[in-house]
Amino acid sequence: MDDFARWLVRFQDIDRRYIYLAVAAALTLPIVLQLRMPQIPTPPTQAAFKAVENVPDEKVVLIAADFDTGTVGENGPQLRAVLEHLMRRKKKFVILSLIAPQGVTIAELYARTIGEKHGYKYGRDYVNLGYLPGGAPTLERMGRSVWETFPTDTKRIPLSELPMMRQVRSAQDISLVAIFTGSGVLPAYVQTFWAQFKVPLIEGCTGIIVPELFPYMEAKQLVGILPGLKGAAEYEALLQQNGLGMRGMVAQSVAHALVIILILLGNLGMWLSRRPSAQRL
Amino acid sequence: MLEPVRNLWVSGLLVVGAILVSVAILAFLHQLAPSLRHRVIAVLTFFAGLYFPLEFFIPYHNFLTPWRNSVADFLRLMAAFTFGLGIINLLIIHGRHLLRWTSNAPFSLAFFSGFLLMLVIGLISHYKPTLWAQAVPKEAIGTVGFWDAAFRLFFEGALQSLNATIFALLAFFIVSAAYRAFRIRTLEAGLLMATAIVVMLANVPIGQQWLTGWIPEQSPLAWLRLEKLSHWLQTQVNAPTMRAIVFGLWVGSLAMAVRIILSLERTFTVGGQ
Repeated sequence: MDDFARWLVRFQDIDRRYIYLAVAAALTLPIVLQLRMPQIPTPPTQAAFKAVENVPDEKVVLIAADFDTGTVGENGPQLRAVLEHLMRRKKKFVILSLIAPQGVTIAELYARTIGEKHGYKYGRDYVNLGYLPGGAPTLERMGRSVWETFPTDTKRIPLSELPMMRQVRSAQDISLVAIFTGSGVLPAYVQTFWAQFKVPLIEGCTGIIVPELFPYMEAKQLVGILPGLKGAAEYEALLQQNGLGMRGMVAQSVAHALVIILILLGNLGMWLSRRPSAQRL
Repeated sequence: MLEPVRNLWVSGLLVVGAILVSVAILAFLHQLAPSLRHRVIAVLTFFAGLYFPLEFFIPYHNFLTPWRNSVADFLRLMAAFTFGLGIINLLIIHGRHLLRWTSNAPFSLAFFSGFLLMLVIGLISHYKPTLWAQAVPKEAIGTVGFWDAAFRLFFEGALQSLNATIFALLAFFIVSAAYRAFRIRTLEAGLLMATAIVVMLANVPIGQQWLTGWIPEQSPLAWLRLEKLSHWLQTQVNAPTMRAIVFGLWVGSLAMAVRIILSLERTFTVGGQ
């Protein structure tokens, strides 16, 4: 028994190289082996899904791609899932970014790739307005007049020449703002689109900022949340598709289990080493 | 409504003109005596900082309202300038490494190669995607154009993957750090770990489906289901705490804004002296 306890004590100080190796295996093996796990959509994701379902045909959705390539692992699958949903329902959308110039490029690449399957055409079904620096005051300006804030799209085509944009003049023509970000950009949209123009907001965020968003959801300033990669996987479950979120979530699931096991082992080792009998050894 | 300038030469000249005027203003400010320069900055900061509160608190459409669009445009220009500053800074630092051929010169060379390659391909694929299109056989690159394919190769294939890889390295450090730091030595640490385990398990199918998924939704014990416990923790324990923290944060920001408007916060005007 003492030998076993002594063996367990060693777990309080595992060499970090073994930990890195275990993390690499936990993340790669489920993807390589194509393991599947079911997803139960939680209320925040269901609410976001419902908000997209309720978008009326005559209005557009504003896609705020406020993320860059660093958080594309989480925000990418979320955005893909929401775009897939919008395209299945034949809803039109406008892309912009308040803080990340790369975000609009990523969003347009996704829109183009997914759009090919659904027969979506640039200018008729979606438009990329590009990067919009300047924070809340610029968003407010856009809410009052889209055409004055963005005389052209990212390809320098005047908005008047884009068929879809003829009906999009102000926030009144936008029925939902879907924000995808790994930063605390939400207050700018709450102060403008929600507070001044009464446009509902949903947000797909990285896992680390989910706790910050619940107060906004409790206050009904945020209609729905896609929390991290899990949010993307849940949204895909609601869409009944097996996308990047579902596949990534299996790997994340195994990695979470590994973290919990390591923490428990570390504590067990520490606890055993502190026993009076262990100190006599 | 502002009409977009479609002529590339005219818009280019306008940009150059704007940069020259800005440089002239900066040079003028630089020539002033330090005390006078700080006074100019303080006065400008005072009026600029006062604009939004006054416009908001004076009821209805007031004398400041017509300027909202111009102020918003000015803010966009200011934000755009920060990009220019960033690029100039990078060019100076890496240029210096290259000219002196320091030990970091190969990295600087990689920076210049990547910067120029991405700049040229990005600009051409965006503004002139048909350039030399006839020189490349269409079947060689599929349904997308050559420049679009090149852009995708460098943006999605290189930049996006490299950036995501660097970000993903955090997973290794976080697991290692969590393993070392999460030791239950006090009651608070025990509570924190129990909460963390519940939220982590509820976030993954292993916890949701296998550990507590067997408890029926309608059962009196349904609250023990991990996703319900996690939702309760996040909405009833975490949300009020976060609300209090965010409230304090914004009150602090307001106090800091008042200090900046009144130039009591001197670090940004006098270089921290």
